[in-house]
Amino acid sequence: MARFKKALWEDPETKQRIKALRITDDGSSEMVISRDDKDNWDLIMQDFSEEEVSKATDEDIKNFRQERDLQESQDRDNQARQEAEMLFADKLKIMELPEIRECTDKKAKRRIRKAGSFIELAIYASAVVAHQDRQNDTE
Amino acid sequence: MILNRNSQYDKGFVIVASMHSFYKNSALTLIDSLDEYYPDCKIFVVTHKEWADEFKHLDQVVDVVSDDMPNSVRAKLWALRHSPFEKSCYLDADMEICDEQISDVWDLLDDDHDVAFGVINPPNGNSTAIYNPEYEARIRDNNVEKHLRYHGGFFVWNNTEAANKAMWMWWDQYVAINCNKDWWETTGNELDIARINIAWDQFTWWWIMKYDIPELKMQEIGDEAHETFKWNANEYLNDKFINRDDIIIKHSIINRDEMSKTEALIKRDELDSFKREAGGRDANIDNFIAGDDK
Repeated sequence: MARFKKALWEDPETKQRIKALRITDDGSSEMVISRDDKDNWDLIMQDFSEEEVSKATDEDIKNFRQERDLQESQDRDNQARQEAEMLFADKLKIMELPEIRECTDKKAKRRIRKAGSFIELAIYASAVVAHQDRQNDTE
Repeated sequence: MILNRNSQYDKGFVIVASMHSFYKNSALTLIDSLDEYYPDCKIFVVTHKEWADEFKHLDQVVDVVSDDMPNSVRAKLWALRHSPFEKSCYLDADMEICDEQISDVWDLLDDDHDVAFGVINPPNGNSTAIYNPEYEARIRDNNVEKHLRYHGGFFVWNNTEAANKAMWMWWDQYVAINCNKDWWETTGNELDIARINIAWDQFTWWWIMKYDIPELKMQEIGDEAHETFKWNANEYLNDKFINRDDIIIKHSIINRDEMSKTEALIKRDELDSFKREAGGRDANIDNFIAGDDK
């Protein structure tokens, strides 16, 4: 005789169909049971009341949202970390440019260190290179 | 071994720039951040001869040592014994100061202790397991008997006999243990030490604390995680661990892929461990350049 597990409303608003795992001696399979399918509906109602299905559905939605939020938060952290790594690596590479390395303007170099984005970094580095070029031209 | 050294200065930072321009440039940015938030500080630099001039003229730098510096990813361990300070603070080159509270760093170590370390955050980074059972079971509970506990990127030590002995031994023991294949096949196997520790200078430190200088008086930085993390915060610590505004020292992560696109100053075959004939290997040699999350 078939038994059911993990019974949830397919649509918790309409509550017309239940999605459940059907367990038989041969194995298990997912199935969707409509109220119109009286035989199977009565069978699943022997295992779960509608209130129990509603409660399990609410719990399932809550868990899904928690996992999704956690995943999104982890993805955001990873992305921020990768960007921070790349920004730091770009600063270290830029500092090896002769114009930056030879620049003695502490304030200008500090701006490069403190640049919070790739655009800021590019702007400050360009300014130092242009300044060094002008200085070299006048010497 | 110099156990009673005469300090030239009362307190200062020890910074090492080695192997790759990424570390040299990050050391320069670290010094700039010290200049911004702690302009009166003193800094002792150990770096390769080729880079020494980039450090010598900096306001806070009191000395730059290059002679006899080993070509190793862990040259920092050799640098520690040369500190000219009564109270020294080692900072990894890829750190950056974010707050004026850095001038309080000396309060993290009192006169009753030899060395102060921050504690590793066990959920993050590589395994800290000392022995194979914990390593294989992926246990990360920071059990004091079974895990490497102290972060090697930031620590403070006094000019005491025990601390000087430990700092002097760290490099020698690193060579004798981490770089010695025979040690791992004999002592390492007998004690069931997880092989991953061959890469960690923190393992060498643990060995020194446990077997060589058990009388060493250790102080842990911060009673709570938040207190520890504000002194050594990396990008793996999210807002659950630390409020970004509270960070005093930020520990950046050097991207190995990006670094490998630029040629290192010290080539792979110039590493001292390659020259040794004992079959030793240098820690992290496969990655070529040091840098980890311990």
